[in-house]
Amino acid sequence: MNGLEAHLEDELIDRIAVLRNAPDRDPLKAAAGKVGYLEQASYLSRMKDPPLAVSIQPAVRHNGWISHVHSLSKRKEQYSMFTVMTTVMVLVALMFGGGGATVYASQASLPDQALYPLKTASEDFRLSLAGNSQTRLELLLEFTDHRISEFAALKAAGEPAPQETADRLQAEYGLALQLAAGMDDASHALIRNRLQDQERIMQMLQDSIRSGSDPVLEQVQAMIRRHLADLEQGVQDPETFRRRMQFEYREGQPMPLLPASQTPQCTGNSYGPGPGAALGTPSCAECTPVQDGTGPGPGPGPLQYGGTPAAPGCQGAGGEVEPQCTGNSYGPGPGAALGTPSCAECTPVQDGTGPGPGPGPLQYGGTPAAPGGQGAGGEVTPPGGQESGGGQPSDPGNPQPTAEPGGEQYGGGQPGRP
Amino acid sequence: MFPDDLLLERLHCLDKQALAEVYDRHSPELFRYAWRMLGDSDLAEECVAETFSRFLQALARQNGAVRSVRPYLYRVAHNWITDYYRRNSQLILPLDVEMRADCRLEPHQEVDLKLEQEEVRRALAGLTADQRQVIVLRYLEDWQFEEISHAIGKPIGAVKALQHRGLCALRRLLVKHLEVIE
Repeated sequence: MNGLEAHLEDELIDRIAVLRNAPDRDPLKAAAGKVGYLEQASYLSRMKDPPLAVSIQPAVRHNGWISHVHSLSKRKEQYSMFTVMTTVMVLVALMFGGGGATVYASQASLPDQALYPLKTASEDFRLSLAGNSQTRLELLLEFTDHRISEFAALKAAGEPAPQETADRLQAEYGLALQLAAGMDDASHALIRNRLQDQERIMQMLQDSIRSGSDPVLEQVQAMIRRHLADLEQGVQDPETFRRRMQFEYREGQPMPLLPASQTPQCTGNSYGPGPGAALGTPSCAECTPVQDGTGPGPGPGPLQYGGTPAAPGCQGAGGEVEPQCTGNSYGPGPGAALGTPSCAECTPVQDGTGPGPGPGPLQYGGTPAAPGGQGAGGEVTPPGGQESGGGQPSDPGNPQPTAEPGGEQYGGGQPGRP
Repeated sequence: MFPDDLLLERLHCLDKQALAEVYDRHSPELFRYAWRMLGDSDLAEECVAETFSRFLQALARQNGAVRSVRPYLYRVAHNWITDYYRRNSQLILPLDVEMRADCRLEPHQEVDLKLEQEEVRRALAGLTADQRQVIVLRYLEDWQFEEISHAIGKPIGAVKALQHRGLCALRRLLVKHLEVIE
């Protein structure tokens, strides 16, 4: 220690020395303290079991696990704030807390934002966790509200409504209706009320558009009205409604979506595994299926929601089938013609040589496959030469039906959607 | 008056005479020690009472914790003061600051002394518990390194290191306080 340090230390010690001047102790307090001390000593000497230690002895401290944790790393001067335990806790927090925060943040995202897929994925996950039909129905209705809110938010931001969101909404409606078909009337009323609210919102959105209109919003509005009409029909004939819903909206399968411009004109019930249905204005009076009853024929054709029913009994096994009728018909029909079929045009030719159609693929929100159009040996001539019996989508850029009246097209080929 | 070895033996038997002798011998210095650290007579009395209460309980347990009376008492008092500072991290100056008249000092000198004491006490409070105990025992209670080593349960080398670091920290804290005032 050099002289300067010694000098500084002396100065410091002098400063500390100001505390040496402690006041004298109050003799009364000192005496009272001594009396209390001796009384406590007498009390303790009479006790059989002395009190526990004020400071617990190290031998009985439950600190074994602490020393064990510390022994994992023997480094000296370890940064005590970052132990192994802390590392684990931080990692767990990042894995679960961080992921949860991201999912939570995604709930406010819109379809044109990066987190939107996470939002839809979380909704799917929630739906998969729902234990009973009532919960699933409520979740689906909640999700449809989300979609409507997204449309409103996009509209407020001046963004166009994406088709994908409309497709998803349609799928959610389909599942909800399918679930409701197996439930009581209260569930029907629940969906109906929700649909009416959403229809009002969509109407307000449409009204708020000053210039032009959004085709997707129009399509959604038409979709809601269609479902409302279905539900009204269900009030009149609950049993038919249930059967129809349970068949048409099979759970887990997406539902084809019709563009607003192609809202089917006919609302015939196309029950049964008909391979397809014809667009147009069918008339039951025109249905004169020719059957020979020789083949099983049917395959689950594409379900065309609200579309034209399949020709009943037209499922004659294979052959050139020209369904003559559409309309309310159950049962497997191999296909139907687009356009405005008439009995004169529907002249199924059946040779009964083979089984009928195979299942046409269902395309979510897109063009339904041409079901059963490939009935054995049937000559299928898709409109525009682009659709085959396998349900290929038609030209996305041309959403108009291309079938001409009288044209032969099996499988109820629905024009594709852009 | 008991010799030290006999005194310890009598204490473990909770002999009243031996206990009273210990109180008379050590309570005044413990009071001063506590007052220097706390700056309040009532708190210092409370510290002394609690220290002797714990001392009695340790004797009653008969577990041999008390091997030397004075270091043990100072260690208990020091722990109590440390706990007090932990519970009251913000040192609060009472409004009714004790201003005992000292006939040797003028009033303005009395005030200066009081302020200086508070400043040093604040600086001491900024040290670690071990550093504070070593500094106080060494420079205010005039203990030797061996006694301090015995009291705080550390080797003499560690006591010297604590003293050195404590003085450096104390100097830094006092200079910092001066800068704040200026």
